Amino acid sequence: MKAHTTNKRAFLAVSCLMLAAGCGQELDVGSDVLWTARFEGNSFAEWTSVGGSDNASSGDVIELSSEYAYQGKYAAKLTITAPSVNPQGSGSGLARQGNLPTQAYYSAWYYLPSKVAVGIYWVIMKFRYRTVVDDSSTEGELFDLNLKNLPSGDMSLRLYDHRMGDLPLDVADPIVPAGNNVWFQVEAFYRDDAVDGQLTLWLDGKQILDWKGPTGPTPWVAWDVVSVGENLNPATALLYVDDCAISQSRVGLTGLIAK
Amino acid sequence: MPREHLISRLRASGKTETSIHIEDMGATFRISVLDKVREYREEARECAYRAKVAALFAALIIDPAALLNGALCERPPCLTAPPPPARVEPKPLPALPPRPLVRLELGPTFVTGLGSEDRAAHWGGAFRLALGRGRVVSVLGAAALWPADSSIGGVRLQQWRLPVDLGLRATLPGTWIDYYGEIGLAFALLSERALDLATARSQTGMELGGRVGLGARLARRAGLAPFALLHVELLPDPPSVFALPRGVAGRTPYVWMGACLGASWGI
Repeated sequence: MKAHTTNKRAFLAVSCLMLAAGCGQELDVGSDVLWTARFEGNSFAEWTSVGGSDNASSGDVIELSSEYAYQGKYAAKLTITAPSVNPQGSGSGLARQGNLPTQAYYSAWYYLPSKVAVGIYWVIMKFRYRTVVDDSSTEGELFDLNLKNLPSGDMSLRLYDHRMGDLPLDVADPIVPAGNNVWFQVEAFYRDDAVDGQLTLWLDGKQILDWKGPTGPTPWVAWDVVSVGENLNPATALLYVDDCAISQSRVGLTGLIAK
Repeated sequence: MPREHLISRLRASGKTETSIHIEDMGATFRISVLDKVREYREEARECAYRAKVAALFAALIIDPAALLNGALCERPPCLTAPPPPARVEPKPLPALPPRPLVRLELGPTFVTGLGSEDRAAHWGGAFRLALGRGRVVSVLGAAALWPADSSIGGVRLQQWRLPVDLGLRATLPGTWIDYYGEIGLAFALLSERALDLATARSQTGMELGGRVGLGARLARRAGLAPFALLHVELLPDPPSVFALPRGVAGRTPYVWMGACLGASWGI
């Protein structure tokens, strides 16, 4: 009787162990995310430790803030003052320069606390190139993604190609939310190729541009998340940035950049 | 046969004519006893032989029962009673050899998981061991499968699996084919390795579920016999595959189906 009870208990124990072993397992097979900046270390080390930078022009500010965050506690707060008369423009931002893949998805979440009247331009994302990889003096501007105003008073996006001017978006005047702690995601697929380049843009997961043509002349790529403006009203404009990522596959609205 | 006995039987026959006549007819001779006549051919005309035959015939006519009784025979020629017919015992059915205690089965196998986007087709070898002589026996199985490529939630994977199962087998014997069904627990080690991710890792998990199978085997008690087996494994909670930035890309198959053809060896 005792042996029978022992056998029964052993059987139950083994069964429970096997059931536990088979339940809810998650196999983490890896990641396509090459780099992230979540700012949760309350620093810009995620940028500066990989050859990137955090910069602000005189009178402008780049700082960590816990006022708003897309996820976690911290985000980068970019404050610029861009009066109507300022030929150099104002700007602050974060940059990854070099050591980037020749093709990748670049994602960043933005929060615009209030609508701003854009007099000349307000750039929030940039791609740059070099004609000589190791020569910083050969750097040039390529694509600028701008915020713009719509007649309705809403804010939208505009893409500027420094070689040929504005590139019309496939989706005209996509609305960018402002205020109410509503964040928006801009994701770009950028392929750096002197002949067969590509720039595809998504706003909040919706594709708004799929452009193909020559991009950078060398494999050197720079990606900036910035707030650079001229002639803004009000002159002091705030922009929050969080959860930046470079990935080999799309991050999208629901993608995770960290476990 | 004693002469007195013969004479007394002749007299007791109630016939008027009690003499025994032997008539020579050349190549044949005729014997007459108590109105019974019989003619024999004997071309050699050997008197001694004819006398023996005549005496035997007479004895058969006069008292056949006594003649057949060996105890009454004093001198040749004597006829012995035919031996009683041999008693025919009903032949017992040939005893079937006992069912083998151990049955080893080995053969190539094919297993595929249902539910994956790219259905992985695993080929390999399967081994099964059935233990017991009854119609319901315990059975243990394992398979070694080659890795195969699959895709879960857009994540391309190389999948490797080592399934083991433990259960019961009930056999329905037939004249030519034995059919059997199996039911039991299925356990497997499952390894997934990402193929296209920037940072790929190989992860191994465990699967646990139920297994049912249907098989057929050439009906032989022992020795080698070919068999075929189909089986299904049902896993209520298979592992999930996680990859950044997708997050949980999906689950490994809930259902695995397989087939095995091979040789079964009963010992």
